[in-house]
Amino acid sequence: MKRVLVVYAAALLLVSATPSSAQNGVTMRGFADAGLTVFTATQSFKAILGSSAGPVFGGGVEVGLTRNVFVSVAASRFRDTGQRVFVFQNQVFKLNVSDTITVTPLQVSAGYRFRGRRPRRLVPYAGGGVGWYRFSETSQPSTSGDDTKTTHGGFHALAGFETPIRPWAGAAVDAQWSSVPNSLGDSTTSVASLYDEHNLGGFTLRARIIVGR
Amino acid sequence: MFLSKSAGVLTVLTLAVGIVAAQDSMPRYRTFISDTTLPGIDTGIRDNDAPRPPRPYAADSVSRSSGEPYLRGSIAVKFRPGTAAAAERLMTTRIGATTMDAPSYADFQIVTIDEQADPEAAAATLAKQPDVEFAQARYRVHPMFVPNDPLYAQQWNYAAIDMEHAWDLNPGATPSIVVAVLDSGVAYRNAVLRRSIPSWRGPFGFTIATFPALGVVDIPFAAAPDLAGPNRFVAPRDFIWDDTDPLDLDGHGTHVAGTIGQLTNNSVGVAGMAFNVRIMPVKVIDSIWDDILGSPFEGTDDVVARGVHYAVDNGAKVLNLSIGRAGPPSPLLQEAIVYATSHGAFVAIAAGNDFEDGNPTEWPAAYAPSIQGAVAVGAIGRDRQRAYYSSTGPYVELVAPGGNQRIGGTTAGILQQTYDFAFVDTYVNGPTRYGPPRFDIFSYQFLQGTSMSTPHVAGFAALLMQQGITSPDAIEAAMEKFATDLGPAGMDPQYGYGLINPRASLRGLGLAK
Repeated sequence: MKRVLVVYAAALLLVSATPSSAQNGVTMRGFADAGLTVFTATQSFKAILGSSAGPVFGGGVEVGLTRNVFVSVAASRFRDTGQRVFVFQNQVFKLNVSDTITVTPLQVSAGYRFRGRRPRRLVPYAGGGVGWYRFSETSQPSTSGDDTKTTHGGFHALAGFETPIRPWAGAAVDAQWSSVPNSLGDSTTSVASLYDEHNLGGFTLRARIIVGR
Repeated sequence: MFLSKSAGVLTVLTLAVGIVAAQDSMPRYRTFISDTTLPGIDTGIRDNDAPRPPRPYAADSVSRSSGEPYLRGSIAVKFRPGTAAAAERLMTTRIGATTMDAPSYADFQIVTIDEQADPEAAAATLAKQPDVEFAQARYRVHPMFVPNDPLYAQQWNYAAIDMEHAWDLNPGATPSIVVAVLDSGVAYRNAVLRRSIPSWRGPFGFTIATFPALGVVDIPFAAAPDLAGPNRFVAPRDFIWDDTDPLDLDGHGTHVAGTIGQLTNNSVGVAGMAFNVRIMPVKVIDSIWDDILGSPFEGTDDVVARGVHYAVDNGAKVLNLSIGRAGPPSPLLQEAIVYATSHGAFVAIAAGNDFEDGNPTEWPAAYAPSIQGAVAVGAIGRDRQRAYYSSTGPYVELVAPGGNQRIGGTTAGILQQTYDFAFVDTYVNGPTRYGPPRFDIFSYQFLQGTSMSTPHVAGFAALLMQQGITSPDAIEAAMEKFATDLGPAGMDPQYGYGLINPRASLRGLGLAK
């Protein structure tokens, strides 16, 4: 968590270091996005869900502090259902017990748009931030104590391009890498423990629709 | 206990002496005169009976002919592949062998030797020949339960392993899973056997009495009411009578089969672990009545090995062996169990009941740790402590409820339906009240022993197989990983990896929990 706070502080520093001449007043925009996340715990997700990747959907609010500097708050959600398993000698046996995984990150980011001096169609941006990752695993049938709901801290970095498509709307594509250390694999009944995978983070590629000026 | 066991051995020894003389004139095979009889009679729980002495077993360390732990007059041998028949004959001639027979469902041969020859010495001599893979005496195998004092109670054993929640995950498997019960047979069908019962000598109290010949009698059999159902039984086979009618003349196998697959949720009687599976009755153990009636075979290593091969070849995916013996190792049984696991069948083996009798190494249980997919099963009582009789050693891999009536009384045994022993053990009241047995009257009996703990594991294996763990080695791994550790931390000689935990194993691993 200390590392998360350090990254967050660095992001704030980046914002405060923006030249005052570049500031044109505060703006606010909303966005919705859809993407694909490839989880760092590749083997674990693949064992339970059949794939280490899955779709994520989300949205959020972005505040432009200057012409180039922004901060955003975004929430997204990954949800998929697979089966609980038993693994023996690298063979995965599906056990016909449904297992639903839900990952809900709440991320605060700060970033910088590289607009340049001349207007251009594609505006690159980059940033980073911290997040709180809510993890839920439920199975059917289950009894009290079987299911788990936990929240872990993490951090992320992102980079992408944005392009205006209307005077009041834009589109963006970005890639994000996130890390949520020590969030998996502390239970002896987890495949994450078996595979020694402890990070809930991953790599996300997403497309975003932005509304607002 | 020692007095009881001695009495049991004496019973069998004397029975053996008396029975042998009578068998010479008896027909080798049986005649069933009817397949349709009245349904079995259920007399309910025997909860007011006085404690009964332990039930002696014909195979309990003595043979019909000699009181020795092996058969005389023959040994079992396996030649290396490619050995010429002439070479085989030459080698067997050196031990005075007269004939050689290759029985069905066996990759070994039975070599006939002189009745007076020492089978162990003959086997040792033959085993030294370069073309002999192994040779051994035909050691007798016996059931693994400590006889009980039948009263009444409840099936505490399922609560002890949280079966109610396990059944939520897998309600009793399906008929696609076949579990073979290699035992004294199973009360699986109705029949009437017409047979002459000869005179024989046996113990009555502390004296030896002559039990009179009963002449030709009709002996009724019925399917156990709480076990039998449509398409319940598959490929029955009897290696004691060498036919396809493995009827239980004892009650042990029927009780064991009940723990594996007793019909459940049928508003009758008691429950079983994997109550939807199909049962394959494979008779490889002889009882006193088999001996009295003159069965051509006894429950020896080679007979059990043939039963294992038969079960696997006929589709059994789980094999229950609530049987075993002390004494020398048995390459026959080792190879048979390897054959089973290598053909995709899981094998549950009783660890033995001889802790207070010197705690000898039990076979084939002692092979289990070296064979992935075979598990040696010890027993615990209702107090979750090792039962007093349960053998210990490095080969014990798991424990399951087997009952401990020394601590918990009669009802601390494992309750299942089997014969009403009052109608089976008609000889226990002496010659004057002796009569033909009936195998169509049932009651609910509390029995204890690793014979009773082992079918819990066999039923559990069937559930795991249905759940999706299809290989026997993975089934064993799943059982051991999720076992509830008892005794000293980690694997130990009393409890192995611990008490089976079916629900945890069936539920397996999640992503994070």
